[in-house]
Amino acid sequence: MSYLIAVATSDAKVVDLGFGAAKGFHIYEVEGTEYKEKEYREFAEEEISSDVQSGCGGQTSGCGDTNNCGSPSGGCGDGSQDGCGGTGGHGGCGAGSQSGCGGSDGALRKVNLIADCRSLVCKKIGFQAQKQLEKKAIAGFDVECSVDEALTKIATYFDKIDNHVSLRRG
Amino acid sequence: MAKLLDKQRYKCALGAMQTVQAIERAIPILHSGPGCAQKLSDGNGSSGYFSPNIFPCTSINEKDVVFGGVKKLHSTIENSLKVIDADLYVVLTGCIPEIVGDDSGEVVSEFADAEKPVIYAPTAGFKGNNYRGHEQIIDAIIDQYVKKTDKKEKGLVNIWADVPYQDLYWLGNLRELEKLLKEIGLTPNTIFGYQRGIKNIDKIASAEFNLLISPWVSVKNVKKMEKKLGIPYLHYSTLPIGAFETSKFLREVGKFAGVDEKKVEDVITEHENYYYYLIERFADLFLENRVINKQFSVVADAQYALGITKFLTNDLGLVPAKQFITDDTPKEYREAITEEFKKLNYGLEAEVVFETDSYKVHEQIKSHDYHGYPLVLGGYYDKEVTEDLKGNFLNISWPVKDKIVLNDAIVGYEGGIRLIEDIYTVASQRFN
Repeated sequence: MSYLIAVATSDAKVVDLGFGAAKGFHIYEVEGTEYKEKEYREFAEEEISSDVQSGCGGQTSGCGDTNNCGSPSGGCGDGSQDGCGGTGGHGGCGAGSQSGCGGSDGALRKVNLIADCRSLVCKKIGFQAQKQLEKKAIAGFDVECSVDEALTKIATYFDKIDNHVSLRRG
Repeated sequence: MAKLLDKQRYKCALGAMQTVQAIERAIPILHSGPGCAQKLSDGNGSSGYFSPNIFPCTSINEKDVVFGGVKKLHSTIENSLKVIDADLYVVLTGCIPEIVGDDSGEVVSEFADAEKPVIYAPTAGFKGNNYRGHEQIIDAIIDQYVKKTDKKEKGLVNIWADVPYQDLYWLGNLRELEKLLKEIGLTPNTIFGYQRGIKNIDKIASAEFNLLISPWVSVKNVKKMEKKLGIPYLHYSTLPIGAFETSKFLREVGKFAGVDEKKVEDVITEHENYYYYLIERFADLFLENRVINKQFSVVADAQYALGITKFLTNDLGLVPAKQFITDDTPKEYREAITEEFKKLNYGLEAEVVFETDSYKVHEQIKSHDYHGYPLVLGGYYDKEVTEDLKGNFLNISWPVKDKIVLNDAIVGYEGGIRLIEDIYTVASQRFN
C-alpha cells in the first residue's frame, strides 16, 4: 500500500528548510521502495498567522484580559503579558514557541495539513512540532541531505518494517 | 518456535559497562538507545566516581536507525572528552547500531590522537550475555591499548578472576587473591577496583604470566594475550575457597611461577593452622548434625557453582545434590567443567546441569530428595522456592537483594571462614 512523505525543501533537491520556515511541503507518494512527487502543498501565510491570533488574546478564549489572567480562578497560567490562554483542548499557553502565543497551535495547524502523511523530512524540527507529529504518529526526521537520499533511506526502512524484514545492513 | 526464558541470571553484553565501571577513572560511552545504562545498572554499588545515570549515551532513535548514528557517536565522544575527567574512555555499542551497521570502530579510530585513550568494544546484546561482554572489554583493552614489551618484571602476575558487579564479591575476592600471591613472594597486578586503574593496565604487558581463575570466562582473553603480548598463562578453573582448595591453589601457582616450595608450604601451614583453629573452636556446632542440611545445591555461574561445591564438599563434608550453572556457558567448555565437578574428595561426584531457565531449575530443586531440608546457595530468585521447601537459603549470586557486600570476600582461607559464618548464621536462625 502506498503512503505519503512530506519534505521541506526549496528546490526539491536538497532538504534545506526547517519545519517552521517551510512555506509548504513537497509531497511524495511511496510504493515499496519506489517514490514519485505527487504534489506541492502550500500554506497561506495569513492563514497561519490569523489562526494564531484567534487562539490568543481573543476575548472568546476567556483569557485575553490581563485582569483575569493569573487570578486564582483565571485558569490561565501565570498572568503573563501575553495573556494567552488555552484555546480549549490545544494544550495551554505559550510554551516558548516563537510566535509567543498559540504555542503548539501554530505547529498543529501545519501538522494538520500533512496529517495524511506517514513521515516528514526537514532540516530542523522544533520541540512543539515534534510533539504534534508524534501525536499523529508521523515519523519526523530532521536531516541535512539530498531529498533522494532521504526518501531512499526512509522508503527502504519502512519497506523492511512493513514486511517484517531485519534492518540488518549488508 | 519462540521460547520463553524465565528469570535468567545475566544481562545483555552491554551489561559489561560494569566491567568498565570497575576500572578506576574509566568511563563507558554508550552507543545505544536511551535507558540502557539505567536498566543495566543495579544496586551493587557504582564506581563511586561516575554514576550509570550520567554515562554519556548517544540515545539513538528512529532517525539514527534510518540515517545512521555515526555523526551522533562522533559528537558524543568529542564532547565526553571535553567535559568528563576520566583516564580511559570505552565506547560500547548496543544492539541497534550494530544491527543497522554503524561502523563504530571507524568513528573511534578518528580519536586515535586524542589526549586520553578512547577504545571500542562491540557489546550488542545478540552477541551474548554480560560474561561475554566482559571478555569483549578485556579484548578491547588488549587489542587497542596495551602495547607489547620485552621488559618483563620478575614475579609480576596479572590476575583475572571474577566479573565485576555481576559477582557481588568481586572486589574483596580480587584483593584477597592479591594478598595470597604476595605472601608467596609474587607481585600481583589487577586492573579492577581502588587505586588500580590505568596504571595497572599499563603494567599488564610486563607481567611474567597471566593467572586466570575461572572455569571459562576470560579463557579467550589470556589466549589472546599469549599470542599478542607473549605472556604465558596458567588457567586454574576452580575459585579456591577454604583451606583444601586454597592450599592446592597456592601449590600449583607456586610451582608454575617457580617459587621456592618451602616458602609456599610455610605460608600454607600458617594459614591452615589458624583456619583449623577457628573451625575446631566451633567443632561442636559443626558436628551437631541437626544444624546443617545434609545436601546442598548451588545455583550460580560456573565460577561460584564449582568453587562453592568443592568447598562445601571438601571442607565442610556436605553432600552435593544437583548443581546448576546459570551463566549460559559456551558449549565448548561444558565438558571440562562437568569433569571438574567429579573431582571431589571422599570419592564424591556432583551432578551438574547447565540451565538458564529459572523455572526449570526450580522444578528440579523441588523434585530432588535432599534427605531433609535443602541448603540452597543461589540468586534471589531461589529464595522463594527454598522457603517453600523450608530450606536454608543464602544469596551468593546475581541477582542480589538479600545481601550488601562492600569488600567482603569468599575466596581463600579467610573467604572460606566468611562463607561458613554466613551459612551457619542462616542455619542456626532456624532454631531461634
